[in-house]
Amino acid sequence: MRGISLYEPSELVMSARAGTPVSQLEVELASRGQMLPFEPIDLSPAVGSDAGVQTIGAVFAGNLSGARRIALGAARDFLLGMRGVNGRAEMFKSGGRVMKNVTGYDVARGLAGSWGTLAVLSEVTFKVLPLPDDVVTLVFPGLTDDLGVELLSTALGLPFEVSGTVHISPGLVPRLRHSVLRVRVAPADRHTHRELHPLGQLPQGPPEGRARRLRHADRARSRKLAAVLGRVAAAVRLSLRPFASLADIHNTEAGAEAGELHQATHARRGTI
Amino acid sequence: MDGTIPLAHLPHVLETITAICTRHGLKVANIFHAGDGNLHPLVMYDANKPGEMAKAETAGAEILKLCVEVGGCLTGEHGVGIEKRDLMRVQFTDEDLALQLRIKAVFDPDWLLNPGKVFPLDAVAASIASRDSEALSGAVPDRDTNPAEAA
Repeated sequence: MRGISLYEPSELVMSARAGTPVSQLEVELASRGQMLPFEPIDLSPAVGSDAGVQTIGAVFAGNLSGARRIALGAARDFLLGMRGVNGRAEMFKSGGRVMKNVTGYDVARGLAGSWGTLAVLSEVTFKVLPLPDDVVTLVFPGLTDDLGVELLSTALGLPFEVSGTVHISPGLVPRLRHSVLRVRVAPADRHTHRELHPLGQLPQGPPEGRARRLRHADRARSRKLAAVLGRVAAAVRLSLRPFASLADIHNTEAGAEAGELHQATHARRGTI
Repeated sequence: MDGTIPLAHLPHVLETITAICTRHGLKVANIFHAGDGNLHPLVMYDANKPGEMAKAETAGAEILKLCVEVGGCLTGEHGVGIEKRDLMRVQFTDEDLALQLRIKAVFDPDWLLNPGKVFPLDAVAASIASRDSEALSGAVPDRDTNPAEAA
């Protein structure tokens, strides 16, 4: 069940059979200057596969969205329609291929994030968007968790299009000595760096805490989960409410540790 | 009217809308959301002339069937309501409709909300009847029943 069944760049719509690898779709979209707006996270390495085998059906079934979700929305917000099989072994469809559609119930949206428990997807139709003209990723090294959260909160309140943020603490990546905080903004403007730069020189920031731009060559590599996982034996992905405090995060981590996550010896836990 | 179509078909559909209305002896003014293919053909009729409104409704139904034929849908923003509920079978199979009606039954089994809207009335009746017969035959166990005991 693979293959792109419809792609109309001028109408920002694509249909693909559920077994089509996302990587194949992304190559096709990029060739026309377009992208999946919700920037799905590739979890293949986390389940022991090679990167790039994750399917588009899995992405919508799991509502697997990535960094750009904070700016544009989740996978379910871009799902226009589907075909599939219900629990009675009946073929059915919902939605369609046009953006404006209120004909009957939006069952497709309800299936996104249902993890295959309600129906099996055989084909999905979704909206795509143009790739942004230019983005800049600013890197702030050496911030503590508290300062990192402060900077991120400030950045999200500024009049830039922040389309992705990440704070990588040293425990997450092998050989990483200092924490790294990244903020992706668009459209890029030579003033952007100057406006955000003062945030990198917060009082307790270390001497090496000068903001810089992420090199273009590093961008693709930094998106790969494998870089973060390293030789971690188990990784936990927690979805928290938007304004979860650091205390909430630490409590959740402690709870997960104390709870039912049994780890093999030498396991290193990563929280993504 | 509120049908939506893939933009590539816009010229052909606009021409056909005019042809459909002319065939029924009616005039039409086409306004639409050009960016997303959501059409609002204004089918003009004289309410004082007997039979004109019926002709306008027939023309409207033909237009919406055309929208579905070219890969679009019956309604882009107004909703199905009462006027379009019988056209739902143009876009959906009986299985598609039955599935949506089972979802409705979860949240509003007694049809307190919007009775008579969205779904063809015979599909609603069939959905209620099949729910009743499943309840009587014990095919659907109570939530409180242990599934092993119910078998």
